[in-house]
Amino acid sequence: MQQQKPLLTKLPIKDLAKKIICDGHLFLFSGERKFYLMKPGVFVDPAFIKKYAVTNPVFDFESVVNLEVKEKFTKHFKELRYLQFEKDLRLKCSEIVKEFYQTYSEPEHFLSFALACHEAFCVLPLEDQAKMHETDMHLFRKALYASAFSIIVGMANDFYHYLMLKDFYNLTFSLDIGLCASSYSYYVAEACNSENRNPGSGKKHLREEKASQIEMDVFHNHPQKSYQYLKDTPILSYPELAEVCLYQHELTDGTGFPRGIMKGQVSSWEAIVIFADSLVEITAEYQFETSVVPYLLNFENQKLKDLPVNRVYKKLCLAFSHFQAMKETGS
Amino acid sequence: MERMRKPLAILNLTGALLPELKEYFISRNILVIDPLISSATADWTHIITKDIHDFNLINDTYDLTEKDRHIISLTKMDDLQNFTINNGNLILDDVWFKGNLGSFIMDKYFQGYGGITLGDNYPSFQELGSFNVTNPFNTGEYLDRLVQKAFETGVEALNLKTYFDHLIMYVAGLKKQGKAGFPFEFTYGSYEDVFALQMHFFSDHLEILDVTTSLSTVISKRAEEYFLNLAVQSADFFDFSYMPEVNKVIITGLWTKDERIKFENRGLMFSALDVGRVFHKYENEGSTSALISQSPIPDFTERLFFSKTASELNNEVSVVKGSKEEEESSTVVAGSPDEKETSTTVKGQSEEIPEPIIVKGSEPEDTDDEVRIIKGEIGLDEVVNIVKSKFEEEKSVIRVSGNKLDIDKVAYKIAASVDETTKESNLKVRSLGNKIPDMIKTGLYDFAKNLNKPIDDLGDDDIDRFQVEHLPEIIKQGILKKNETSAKDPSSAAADPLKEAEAKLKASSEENEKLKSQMKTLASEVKILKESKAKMLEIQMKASKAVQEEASPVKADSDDELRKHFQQKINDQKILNEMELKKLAGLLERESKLIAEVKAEELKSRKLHIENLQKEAFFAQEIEKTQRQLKAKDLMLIKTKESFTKLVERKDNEVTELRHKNEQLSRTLATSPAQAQEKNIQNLEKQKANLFKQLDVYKIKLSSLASKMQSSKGDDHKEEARKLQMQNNQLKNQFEVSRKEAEKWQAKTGQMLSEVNSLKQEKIQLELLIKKLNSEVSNKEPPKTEAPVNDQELRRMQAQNQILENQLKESASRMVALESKLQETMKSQKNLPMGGDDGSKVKITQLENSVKKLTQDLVENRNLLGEAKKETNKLRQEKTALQNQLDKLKKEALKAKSAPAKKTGKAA
Repeated sequence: MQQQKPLLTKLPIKDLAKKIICDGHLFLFSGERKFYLMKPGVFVDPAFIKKYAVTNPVFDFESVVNLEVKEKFTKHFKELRYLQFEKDLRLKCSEIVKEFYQTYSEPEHFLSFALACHEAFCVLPLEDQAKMHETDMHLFRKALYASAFSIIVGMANDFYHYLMLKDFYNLTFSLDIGLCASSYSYYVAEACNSENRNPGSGKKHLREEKASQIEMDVFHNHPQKSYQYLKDTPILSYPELAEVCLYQHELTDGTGFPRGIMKGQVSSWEAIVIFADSLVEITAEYQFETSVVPYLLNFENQKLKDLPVNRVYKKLCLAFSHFQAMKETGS
Repeated sequence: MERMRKPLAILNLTGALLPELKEYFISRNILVIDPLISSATADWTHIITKDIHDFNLINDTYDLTEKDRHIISLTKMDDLQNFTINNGNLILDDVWFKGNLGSFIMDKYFQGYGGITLGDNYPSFQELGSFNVTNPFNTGEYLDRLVQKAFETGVEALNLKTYFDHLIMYVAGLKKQGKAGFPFEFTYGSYEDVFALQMHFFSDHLEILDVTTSLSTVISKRAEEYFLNLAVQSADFFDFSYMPEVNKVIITGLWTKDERIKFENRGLMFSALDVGRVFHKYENEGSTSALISQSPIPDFTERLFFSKTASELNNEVSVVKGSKEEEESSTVVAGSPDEKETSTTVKGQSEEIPEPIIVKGSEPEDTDDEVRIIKGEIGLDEVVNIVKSKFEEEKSVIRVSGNKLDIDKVAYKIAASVDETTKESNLKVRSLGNKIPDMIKTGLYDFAKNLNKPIDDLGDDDIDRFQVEHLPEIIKQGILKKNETSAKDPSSAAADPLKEAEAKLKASSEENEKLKSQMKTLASEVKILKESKAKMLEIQMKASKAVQEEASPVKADSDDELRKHFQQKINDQKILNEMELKKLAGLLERESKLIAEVKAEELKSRKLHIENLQKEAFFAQEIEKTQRQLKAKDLMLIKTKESFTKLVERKDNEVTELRHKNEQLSRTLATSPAQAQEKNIQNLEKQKANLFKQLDVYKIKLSSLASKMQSSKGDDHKEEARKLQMQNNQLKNQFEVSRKEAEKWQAKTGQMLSEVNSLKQEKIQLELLIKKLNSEVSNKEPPKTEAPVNDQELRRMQAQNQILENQLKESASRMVALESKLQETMKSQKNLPMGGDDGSKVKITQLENSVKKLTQDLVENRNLLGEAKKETNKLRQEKTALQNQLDKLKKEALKAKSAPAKKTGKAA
């Protein structure tokens, strides 16, 4: 296949300042050299804008977002918001899942969907989003993608109400907001990734890496801090859902943290958030430029051993396979 | 947690357990004690009842709420509120034990396992579907699917639907109170012929009151008071569990096709409920099951925290409790190897008292006999009352020897201090406490009495003092007594038959004495009861009389004489003749008969006692009911009073308002109307004055007009008429002129039309000429003379047009002038002075008529003018059309001119 040349467009800084999330690769030509300034899916930092606004530059911009896809999902979400009857809601959600399946069975950047979701559901204050970005821009991007996954997983698990889905989004987004601390480090992020991949291994990882006690504390207390953040910030339509923050790292055998609660007590909606969170890691590598559906269908994680999470994952696969079956049989 | 840590000890107040249930308890090694058979006590965790509907008494008797004891009822509850308030949390009919589900529910209840999903909670159920509710008023679609599945499994869908609707409304009510959180997650499934619907939701501050308040049986205006009750009544089995660690409530409803399970034997279970507080912890050991499991009900016995051993329990249980407890025997529902040990713990006269009943052991016949006795003679309700009677017996003992239970407590303390090594272990202390003789207890009671203190209030110092000062003496006395008795004991009596008879006599006399004392105590009890409840105990009176009559102490007295006689003889002669031996045998027979009679009497008295208690309970219930009714009536009265007072207040207010209004009106009547009238009068006077003035003015005017009329007379009028006629004639002339002009215009337009027609004809001719020319151009040169002719014609036409336009302008200006003149004449007509004479009036009318005519003429003229204008416009349009045609013709002519020239050029 012939590789397409990147389509560079000129983007003045005033146009960049209008964006909350960078939807492409941002470059700046200085003399003969090209500087790579911003990745897609990253929060457009006001400090960055302030810094470059002095010289008023025009950047070279390579968009990765398919505006058609974004508009399509934005329209769907808008329609979903004003539907009232259960049947209509269910049909709309199944339509969205179907659309998602069809769109992301092919290589398509996930950011289009993530941006549509962010536009439709995110109510997190901008300063808190900036705080996440300041802590780690990969942490922000992880939150952006994971929360977008929570919408599709929620819909596949029979949650159709806009407000409920909105809460899932914001819950998933702020699930790791408790990590935002001055002592956050690469090791903490790695511990989180390790914990997501293999529950119970986070603390072990930190010990192996000889992390400091403060780092250990940040990692240990982040569920409680996230919970506290959601309690203090009235962003949820159903505030009782904030409880899920406390279960994100609890294990079936009661050896998890912070409380050591049995996982048999986790509801399916809580499992949706936990599962969505485990789909993305805090890393620079994830770009989701390829097709996402095969990634989801082939997802393997230790968290899936937990019954509620497994149920949620099975339902997602069932929703996808249903459409796949429809496609294959031509019915 | 606490519940599970405690070894399970169940007090059975049902009398006879169903064999299946009995088997269940045996298989699970759970201690069950029947108070009818055994007076052994334990730290009860549960009390099983049957056919009892008021649990207040049981709660008071066994301190259910304080000691966290729970009631299991084997019959349907009429008043669920009363049941749950009194720590009742399981209703399971015997019928449930006919199938697998009964033992499964019992396992779940005792072990307290569960989970969010149906698979966790009821592992053997196959999940059929699930849905989430975020809007409780938008559930129709899910319910339809649920009902369809229920139909498929053959479950009564109407019940299911009723259950769902009421349950969701109950939870919606909780949500409204902020005690439940969205979403409500539902899972449904089936196992064999049982259909299950489970829901769970987040609940932060749920209390038992939130459950009990919705369990009302009364259908009232406030639906939230009976939602849950209706839901419970719609399900065959209702399971309400709470998980405090995650603040979640799980509600499961079960429906079965089993025809044995009817409305009367529906089940209910409240797990982890506690009175007045937030729910207790729910024991969960992370039990997660496969999503869909068809496996049979698993054995969870490993999870159960069993009692150590039956003997250990018995040791713990068998606390010394005065003389009554000498008959102690425990019913151990355990096929343990410790049967012998348990039997050895039985105190008192082990020969006479029946052996401890072991349900599963070497002597099943005995147990069966016992069960039959219980079944035949005593009803299930009576059993409960027996327990109560025992409690009251204890009370009576307390009256005699102080607070026995408190003595036990203190005795433990003493025992602990005697043996310091056992201080830490409470159980060991308890076991030591069992061994403490009664003497010490009575001594302690006396000591406390001397101090004028209740035993509870005895401090450590007092106990120390008791130990130092009194205890050694008591022990000494005890030892001396023991020595005395041992000295009295005949050591070589066994060999001699006389000695045997003597021993028997002694034993029988002792027995007799004991029985007498028992009789006395019973009589005293009956008397106490009589005294206390004379009104409602007519039957008890009869019973006590019968007891008194049948007690027959006379026989005993005669026997006593005989006994003394024989004893003396044996002591003196140590030989008895045959007659005497026969008499002795008869005496012994009588003694044994007497014993049997006493026993029978005792049983009778117990029965009577039980009856009394039943009656007492019944009367208590009745009293309660009447009290409730009274309360209700009081409430009604209060409410009616309130309503009346409100009404009275309202009426008072109305009266006061009316009074105020009256006062105001009276005031206004007294003050304001006079002023108003005065004002009105003044105004009227003013108006009157004005009118008089106006009258004067009019009079003056009339007089002046009359004078004017007299002076001018007919000359002026004639002149005016002439002038008017002149004007009229002028106007008529003008109209005629305008008409003529219009006619002229019409004529002109006719001319113009004819001209247009002629022009059209000319045009046609020209076109024909052009065509001819065109045809000729191809062959010949065009004639040069036609073009100037056309030009001349065009010029002429333009000149005519200009003339016509000028004429139109002139006519328009004339029309405008005419209109202005007409308006002036109208004004002048209007300004004409009104005459006072009849002649002038006639003239005025004539003038008016003429004016009318003139106006009509004017209107006609205006119409004509409008038509003329329209015609002129038409003419203009035609003119412009003609001009256009002319222009076209000119162009065509020019083209025609230029075309032959080109052709000629080309040709050249």
